[in-house]
Amino acid sequence: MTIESLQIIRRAVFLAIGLICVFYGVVYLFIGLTNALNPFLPGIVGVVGTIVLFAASFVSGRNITQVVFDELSRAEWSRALKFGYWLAVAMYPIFGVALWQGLVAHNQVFAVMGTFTGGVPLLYFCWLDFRG
Amino acid sequence: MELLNHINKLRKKNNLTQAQLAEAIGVSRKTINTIENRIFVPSTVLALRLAIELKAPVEKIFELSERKKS
Repeated sequence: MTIESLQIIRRAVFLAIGLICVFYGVVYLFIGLTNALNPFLPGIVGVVGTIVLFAASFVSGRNITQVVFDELSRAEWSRALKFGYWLAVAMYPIFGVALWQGLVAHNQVFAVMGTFTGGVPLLYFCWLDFRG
Repeated sequence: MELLNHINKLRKKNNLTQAQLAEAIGVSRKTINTIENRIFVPSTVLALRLAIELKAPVEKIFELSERKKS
């Protein structure tokens, strides 16, 4: 496996997990838990994505993996985590007020905050990665 | 203070492409590109690896300059 192919796999995995987490949160917030929306969907996608990424890195070997997860990549991941952290902090007052006003239910807040906190850093990292 | 670098000039002097330099020091081509364009500031370890590959001391690759006041 080449550096480029491992980079593509990482982007695809991060994008898929991030989009599914955010999609799940948005659907749960506006529509609620439907039969089509498995409550374990974000978790399943996260575990499968982790296995795929680990397997791809293992097959690629140490040298290629170190290049793909190099210093810039780690710096971008740090930026993405910082963004995710502040987003998670910002969601507390936003959803706190929404809960207090009775606009959303506890289960909706739990689903949205959990999936956004997990998914947004992955999407932000993809954006930093695509930006070049 | 602004961090300037002469990687592009030194890389061309050594007849290296961004990809070749990246491969030599074990980072991605994007990392070299972002360092050259002053988007990303490398660690000391990476700066020293660059110095070895570019056959120049670190202070010849990176320099601090006063930011011009407009």
